[in-house]
Amino acid sequence: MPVIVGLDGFTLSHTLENAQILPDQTVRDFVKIRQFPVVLTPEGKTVPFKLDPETPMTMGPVALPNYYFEFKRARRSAYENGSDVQKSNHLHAKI
Amino acid sequence: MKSVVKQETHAVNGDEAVALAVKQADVDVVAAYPITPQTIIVEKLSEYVANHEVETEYVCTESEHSAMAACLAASATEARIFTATASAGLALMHEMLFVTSGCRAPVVMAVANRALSAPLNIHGDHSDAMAERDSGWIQIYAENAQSMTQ
Repeated sequence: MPVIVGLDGFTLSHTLENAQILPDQTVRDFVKIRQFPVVLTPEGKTVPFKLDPETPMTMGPVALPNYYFEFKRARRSAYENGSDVQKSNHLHAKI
Repeated sequence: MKSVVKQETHAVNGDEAVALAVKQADVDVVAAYPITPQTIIVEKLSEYVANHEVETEYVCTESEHSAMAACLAASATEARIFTATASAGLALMHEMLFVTSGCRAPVVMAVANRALSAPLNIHGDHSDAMAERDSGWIQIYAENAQSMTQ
């Protein structure tokens, strides 16, 4: 899910402060490599949710009114479930 | 018990703190278009890229709309993405913000919150981010330079 990190223009963006910085490796170990939720293909295979020529998929396709709000509702549920996924450090979020 | 990690004290402004955090987070692609007061973030990031301090692909786009389109496309592959903008730049991205959250692309964007025109004002105001309330993006607000490094 996308995130905006807001910082007040000039008040924060251009004000000099002391900050405690962790070593690069500690941060690398924390963020690790990017992990993907898995989705089910029409053939019944579970694949990572990313563009890959081996397992082609469509992202952001057309949705008419009968499905559009189901889609939006699912996105909201994903946000609500997000903190649980984070807490359990579960690799495969249900999307 | 976890080992204690020694931290270094750096004197940084908010923008530099963001750039430092991005550098440490091993971001693969940065696609951005500079705008005050966010400019220092992309300036620092392009400096890191030019000095080979990071393995990031820096994409100069012709507008913020294109920047977010590039971020979304790159995020759909295996890349970890960052961009930054402010004010009118965020407003120009508006359309692509919905597409990005709809595709559930985990793009991280710093917004140096700035007033929208008119009258033209480059200083702090949340009207830019508030206009994106319904775009499906999580919004987090930093309190100081320290919180931006985290």
